[in-house]
Amino acid sequence: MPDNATLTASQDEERISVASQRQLIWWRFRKHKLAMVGGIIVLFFYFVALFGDFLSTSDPLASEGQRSMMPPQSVHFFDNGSFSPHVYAVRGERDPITLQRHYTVDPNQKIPVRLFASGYEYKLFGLIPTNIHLIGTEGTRAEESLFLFGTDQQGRDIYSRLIHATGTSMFIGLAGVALSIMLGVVLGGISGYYGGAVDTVIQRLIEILRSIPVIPLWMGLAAAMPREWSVTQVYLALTVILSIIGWTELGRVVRGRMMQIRGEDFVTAAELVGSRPRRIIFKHMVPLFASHIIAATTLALPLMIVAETSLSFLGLGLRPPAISWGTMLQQAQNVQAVALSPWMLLPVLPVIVVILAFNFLGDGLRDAADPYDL
Amino acid sequence: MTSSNVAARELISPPQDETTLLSVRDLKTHFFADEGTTRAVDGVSFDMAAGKTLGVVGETGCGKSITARSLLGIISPPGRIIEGEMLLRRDSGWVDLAKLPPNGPEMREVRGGDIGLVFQEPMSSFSPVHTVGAQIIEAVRLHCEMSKQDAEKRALELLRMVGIPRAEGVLNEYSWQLSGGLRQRAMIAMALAGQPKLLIADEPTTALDVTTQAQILELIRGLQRQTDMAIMLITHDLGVIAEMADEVLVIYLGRVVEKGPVEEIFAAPRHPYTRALLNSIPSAHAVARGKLPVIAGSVPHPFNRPSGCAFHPRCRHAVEGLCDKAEPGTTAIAPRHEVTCHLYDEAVSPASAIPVPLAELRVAEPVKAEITPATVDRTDLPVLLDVRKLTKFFPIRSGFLGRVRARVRAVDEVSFDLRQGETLALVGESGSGKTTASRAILRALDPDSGEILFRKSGGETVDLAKLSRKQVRPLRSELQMIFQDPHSSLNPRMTVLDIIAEPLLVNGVGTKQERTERVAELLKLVGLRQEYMRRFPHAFSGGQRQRIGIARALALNPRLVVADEPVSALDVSVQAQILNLLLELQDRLGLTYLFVSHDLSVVKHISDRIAVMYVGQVVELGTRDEVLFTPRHPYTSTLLAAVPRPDPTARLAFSPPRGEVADPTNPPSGCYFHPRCPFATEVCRVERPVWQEITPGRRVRCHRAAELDLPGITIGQAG
Repeated sequence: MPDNATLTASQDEERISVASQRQLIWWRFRKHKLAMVGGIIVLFFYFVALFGDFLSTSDPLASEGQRSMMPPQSVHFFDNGSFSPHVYAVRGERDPITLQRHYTVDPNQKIPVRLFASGYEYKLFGLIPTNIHLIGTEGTRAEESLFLFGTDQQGRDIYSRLIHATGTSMFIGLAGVALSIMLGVVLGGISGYYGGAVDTVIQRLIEILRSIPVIPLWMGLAAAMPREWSVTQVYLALTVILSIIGWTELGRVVRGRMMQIRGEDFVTAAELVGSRPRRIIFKHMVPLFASHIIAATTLALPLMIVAETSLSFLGLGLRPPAISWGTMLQQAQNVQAVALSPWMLLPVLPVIVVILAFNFLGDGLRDAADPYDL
Repeated sequence: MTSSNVAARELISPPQDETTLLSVRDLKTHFFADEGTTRAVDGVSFDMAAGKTLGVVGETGCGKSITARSLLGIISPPGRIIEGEMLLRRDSGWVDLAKLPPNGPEMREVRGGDIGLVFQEPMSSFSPVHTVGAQIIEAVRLHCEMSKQDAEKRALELLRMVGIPRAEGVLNEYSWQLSGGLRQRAMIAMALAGQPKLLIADEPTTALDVTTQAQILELIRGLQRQTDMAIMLITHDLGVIAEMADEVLVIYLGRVVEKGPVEEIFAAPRHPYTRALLNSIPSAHAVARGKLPVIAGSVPHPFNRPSGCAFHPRCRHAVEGLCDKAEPGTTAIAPRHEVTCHLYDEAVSPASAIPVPLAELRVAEPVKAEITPATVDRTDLPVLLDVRKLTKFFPIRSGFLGRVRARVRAVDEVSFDLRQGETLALVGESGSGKTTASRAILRALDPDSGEILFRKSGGETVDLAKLSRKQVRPLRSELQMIFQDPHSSLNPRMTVLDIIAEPLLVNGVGTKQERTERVAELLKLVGLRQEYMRRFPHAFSGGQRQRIGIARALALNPRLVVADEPVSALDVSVQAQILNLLLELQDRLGLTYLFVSHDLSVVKHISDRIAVMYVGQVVELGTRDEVLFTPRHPYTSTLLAAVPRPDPTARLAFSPPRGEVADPTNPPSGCYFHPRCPFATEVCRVERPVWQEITPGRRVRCHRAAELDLPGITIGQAG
């Protein structure tokens, strides 16, 4: 009996034996509860980002002078014992001495809240024109709108703006990280595989990039960005700026892994059977650190999000009318605004939740990426 | 003293025997993971006496090291000692180590104080940021109260005791500045700092070369004579056990299967496992190209421990319905000799159940060469590979501009030839350049100069050294390699099918269907089941992975196979399986092997001719019998003498060679071996010896080759 050890192998062992790398990672990842929760939260945020307009209750750009700095409205679900969600109408008036706006709730005037209500017109995924929203009030008059999280100085709905900002902030992270990964893998890979002079040049470049003070650089670049650029152009430019610095970290990691794997016998074995360099790199070497790249990505995303938020908060990143968590928080820079209308600080919450979720997820992925020490 | 320490003292019923130093009873150390409990040590009992050496043997994964770690309380989670006693005689009385808190003050005193520890890998045992001296002084002061000056004196004394030349200098050096042998000596000095009564040496010589190993074993033996300490020697090398041990403990899957005095274990082993281990040592019977007896299969993971006797699936004498059901009891064969096997248990197994009469259960006679007789004259075979003055130096660059400061003379004018169908062994210690030479021949490295003349399948001869990498590519199918490390040589992300089919795929051989069929055929050829094709390498043991590597090397029907230490990472039993397979494949497929190895006992078994390398040069070349029995170079003779023999009655009566292997960046003048050579004369110091041919096909690089009469392996050693 040449292989008795495997003769006694249970079904479970057989399952592990034929499991691919991806399956092994998934099995181990599933055991990591916190990472699973993080993953679900992250998915939820991307879902919100994708269906931004559908989930919004009012046009995030529509400002209404009569509704400036209105506090959040609470939804009442029952009316005289029967289920009928509604909000009370709010009447606003300006204090003639302090010029501050005061809002009084009128419990007699009930505005019904409906599912799949029609509201402002938009295009779902930028393609399908519709005006159906998940929730909303029927009617377009200002006093009949729904402000779940209140409004800002210009009377714009913070809830809808938050949902739109989620889209901007979550995707600027993705685009930035995708660009850094491309730069990092290609430049780091070249550096590690070929070594020698190429390696020296790339490594010095990384060192130079990393030695540049970040904030002044961004300030300079922000100043250099032409004022007449559209929001989209600024957005793209910002992504590029973030990733120019962002790739260096990954570039170093990839180079290290590449050098390490190059010394492995199976790479020599592949060379000895006559495989060409391209096949060796892409078939034998890259799959080995793909899982590390995935883990690095999930850990890099929250950094990108924080970077965008901080830049926009400082006024160096996105500028209004673009909506991001950073630009929303920019309005909360003023102590007075925060003291009088604390709901302006609400965008901090998704930032914290998303970053924690990404970190848990990344941690779990990194642990799961090396499943061989079972 | 904590309350648990009091408890540890009260419950003890110490052994009556006055010489007993340590008594381990029914020790169980288990590891608790999500997947289940691994019973790494599962009921081990033994006694140790002062001044005696206990040898612990078993294959990888049998729980040898975990036993030692349990004694020191350094089991890392999720492992835990769950049962058993470990009674140690201290100056203050008996203490049960199993009940001491692992991080308590008393355990810390025992660790390094009463019990010293020497690990396999001395590099990782020293901190690279402190000097060797500082670390030894720290160890001294932890266990004896003394001033810094006194501790330094003591450290110096210790370094001298372990035979370190210029000890004052070493005191101020870092571990990475020392050679492997010196580092292991320093490690032993540190272990001796607390004047231990018991020294645990866990594979102390496995990472070392044979000549260095002989020096270290000699040292340990001398130290034991001086200090009367008990030594627990853990090793997989039965030669080392025979050389060193007084008593032997054979462990299989966390349990003791046999224990007894070393002479009895080697002369009359009782347990089938012990017998199988002894039988599978290649050096036991120097029958050239004979098939080694093997143990079927490999050690299962302790997680899947077989029912009944854990050894029964691999046991030749297993009794169905008994060995796979009931756990065997322990039977005393003689005083101090015990075996745990049903075959010897009269209460359980009726005498008729014993398949082989006990008298015949000796170490089996070597299976006579059933493949190719060693005497076949191969001189008339055509030369397949002719290596002439092959040279490869590695530059050492330093400084800002990367100027070349020195050159490592890895391969220095190496010449030999290889005839079709034969096996040439390239033997040498680490740093001798044997691996570099083999890789340069396959053009995995580019040689600096020299010729590599290879006779292509058409009969035409090409010089591989002159071809570009692209030009070599079409020849790849004729030249293949088997790697040393079965873990590093297989891509963990590819299935066995993809791995073995890779050579076929990149060379455009066959359709997908044909390739799959070829892989199935190759798997069968190397003794693996073809259902394993879809599995990933992680599902296989070391021996099975090595078979997969062999299958890949054979996929393109190569003519020359370079095997770079193909068995040195494997256990003895598996090693025998792989050697048998290589011999069988050579016979069946007419392969030519260049077999690179540091292990003369393996070489003895597999080679037709042997080339011995020292510091980048071939110093001796001849047929297997010539080199082994009548060596002409003092280095060959030294190497042969340094191999521990698995026979406790024939312990080494030789003094290991002085000093260390020469530094290949700065080799000595004249003959590279002269500083270590007992026969060196003035001319050896000055003049480089030439590569002279003494008789046809027999060459030596030594000034005194003609006049010296050197000992080879003795007849007794040959078995």
